[in-house]
Amino acid sequence: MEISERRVGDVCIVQIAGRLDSGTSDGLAQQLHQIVDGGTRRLVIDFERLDYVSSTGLRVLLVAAKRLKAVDGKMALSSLKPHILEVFEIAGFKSIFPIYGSTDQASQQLSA
Amino acid sequence: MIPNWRIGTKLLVLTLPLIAAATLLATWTLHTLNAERLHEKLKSRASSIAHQVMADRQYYGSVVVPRVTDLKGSLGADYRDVHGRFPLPATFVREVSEQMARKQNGYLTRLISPWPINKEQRPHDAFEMEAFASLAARPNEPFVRADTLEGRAVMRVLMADLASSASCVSCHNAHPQSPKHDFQLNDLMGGLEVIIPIDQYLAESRHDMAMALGGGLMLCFLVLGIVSIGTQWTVSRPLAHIGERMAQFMRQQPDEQASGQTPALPRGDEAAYLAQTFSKMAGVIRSQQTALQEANASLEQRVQERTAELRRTTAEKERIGSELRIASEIQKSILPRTFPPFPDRADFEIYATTIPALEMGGDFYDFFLIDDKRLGVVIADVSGKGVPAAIFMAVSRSLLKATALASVSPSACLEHVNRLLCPDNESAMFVTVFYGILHTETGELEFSNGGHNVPYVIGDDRLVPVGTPAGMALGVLDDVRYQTSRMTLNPGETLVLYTDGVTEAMDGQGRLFSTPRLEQTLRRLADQRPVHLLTQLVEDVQVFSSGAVQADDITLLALQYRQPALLEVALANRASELQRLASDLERFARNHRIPERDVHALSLALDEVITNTIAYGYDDQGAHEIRVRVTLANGRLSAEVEDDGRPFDPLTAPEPDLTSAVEDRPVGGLGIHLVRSLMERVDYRRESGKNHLIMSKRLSAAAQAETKAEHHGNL
Repeated sequence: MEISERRVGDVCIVQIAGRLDSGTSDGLAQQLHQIVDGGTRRLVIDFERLDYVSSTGLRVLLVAAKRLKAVDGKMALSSLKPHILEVFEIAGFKSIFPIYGSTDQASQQLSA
Repeated sequence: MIPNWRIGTKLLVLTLPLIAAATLLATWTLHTLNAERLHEKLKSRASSIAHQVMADRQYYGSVVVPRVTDLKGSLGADYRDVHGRFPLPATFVREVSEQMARKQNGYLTRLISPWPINKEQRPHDAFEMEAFASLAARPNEPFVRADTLEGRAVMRVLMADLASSASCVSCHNAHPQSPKHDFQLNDLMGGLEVIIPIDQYLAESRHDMAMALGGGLMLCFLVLGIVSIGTQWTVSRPLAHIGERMAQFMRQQPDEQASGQTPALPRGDEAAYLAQTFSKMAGVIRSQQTALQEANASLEQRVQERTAELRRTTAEKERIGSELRIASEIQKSILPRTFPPFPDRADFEIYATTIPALEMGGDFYDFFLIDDKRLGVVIADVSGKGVPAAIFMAVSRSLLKATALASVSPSACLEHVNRLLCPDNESAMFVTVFYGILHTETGELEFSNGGHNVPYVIGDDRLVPVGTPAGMALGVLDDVRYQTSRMTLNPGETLVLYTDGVTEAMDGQGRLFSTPRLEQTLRRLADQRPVHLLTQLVEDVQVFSSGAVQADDITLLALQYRQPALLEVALANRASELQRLASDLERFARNHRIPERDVHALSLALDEVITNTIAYGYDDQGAHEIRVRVTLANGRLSAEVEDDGRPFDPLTAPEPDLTSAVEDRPVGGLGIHLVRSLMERVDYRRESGKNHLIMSKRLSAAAQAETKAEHHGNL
């Protein structure tokens, strides 16, 4: 699991790569925690290089979303692979996260 | 009777006199015309001579005589003897004529008169007398006629000599020897006669005529000859030929009437012969035609009778045929015909086929699961063919299956069925049977053979007969003992059962397909799946025996033993072990060409189940083993997770909230929901202190289609 982070204006873009499962989700949970605590209110998670997500990974994303929501922040996802999008659909997560085709698109929507 | 002459000859005889007569007539006419023309010519010639002589005399009388008188000369016939005398005009004429006659043979010119001064000049004969009579009446028309004089044909002309001058009149009247003295001017005083011999001309004319006649006749004969030969070639010979052929035809007739009437020899000419033969032949043909018409009528009747009979037979046949077809369908439906018959089983694949020689066959195959781990396979061949064999087959098949399902050994099964068949077998039929039981977990094959062809096991590196040819056919003796033998099939090997219809299939020359050829074909097809193997084998047999009638039922069964597509992984109860399971699963999926979508679903489901077990399944902190067993069979991907944690049936977990807003959405409960959504079937059981969660899903549509195509590819 690789996690990288960059900023475009007030938007923080976090790219995650590899597998997001019970073995790797703790790392992501901590990083997202720090980002929100650091004052970030606009968060985009880039799924372009993510191959796998389990319910543990979903839980991390849900927790991050709840924390942002509590401080009036916004969160969006971009570039989900079809089988991951399917998991999001089954889990009912498509109604929680706005999902975009690219990070640029997601950033623009959050800044608007 | 007509003389036996040829047509050509007859034609000749008939036309010859006609042509000859015509030739003669033509020649004679020509000659007559010629003669007349000759006469005319000679007449005019004689006349012109006469005119010439008269002109001379005129000139002499009018020019010479007056001058003689003026000169006091005298005239007289004796002028040669008396000096001062001149010839008389008559003398002048006579002597000129004499000189002409001397030069031209036969020509004669002379003066004659009824009143001559010279007595010799009197008319001599009848012609002259007649001529003078004519001249007296018509002095200006010379009298001309052909005559005979001194034996020669001559042309005679007598021209009037008129008193043309006064001197003539005076001289004659004054002449002492003149018998007449009262001549006046223009009186007829005498005549000049010219005689031309014409016998030479006549002879020439006759000669010409003879030549013309001769030439004409020769021409006639030539023409007739050509006509005669031509007739012979163009008419007589073809006619004779036709006659001959007709006579030959008559001689060839088997009919007494006809052969009796054959004319032995041609009589009359060819046409007559032809007419005779033709009329006889016409009689023969007429009588034959009548006979033919009668035969035809009777034939017509027989055809009608036969047609009606055929119609009845055909209807009967059709009825029997349709019943046989129905019976054949029933018989076929007795045998299992749905392939694959056990789609959930990946550990073996089976295919079978039967091609009856008649509508009803005596062969049969059968297969059935005795239990989860034992598969029974049967092949059998009933003696004889057709309906009786089919009935015996149906009975045998039912008895065998019923007995086999009672879970007895193969030999016990055959013994039992044999005892049942024997007592009621009055028609002395029997059935050869091979019965085998495959233990699907081990590949072990138990079998017993009741007089059937020894089957084969074929693999990559071997082709082995299953047992030895032993045992007696069922239905013969009721206390026969059978033996159970064993052998083991390696994964991928195929058991091939067949009936003698395969090895004894004959080609057009009566050669058998034979056991060596079967073995050769099986070696070649060893790596094929059962359906392809049998399809190819049947095709080979049919190609071999093309052109020959199938003598016996052809029945085949192929059973391939397989190592199931299986992945077994034992995991420790640590989250890090999931990575290992994921990579094992990926490799398994690649090996078995499982679509990414399906392997992802299974991988995620296993992840959720195992993650859950590791996190919440154990009461202690100790090490535990979780066993995962993944199988792929007939398009279905299955997994079983076995753990020794506390009893937990995930199916009892409540459905999570999937709709609330983010702030109200509960965290957790999604794992089991994902498992249930991604898998089609999920079953749980607690067994021997362990949790067993079994889940499965069918491969997605694209992969299904691919598998199907592969399955039916060679059918």
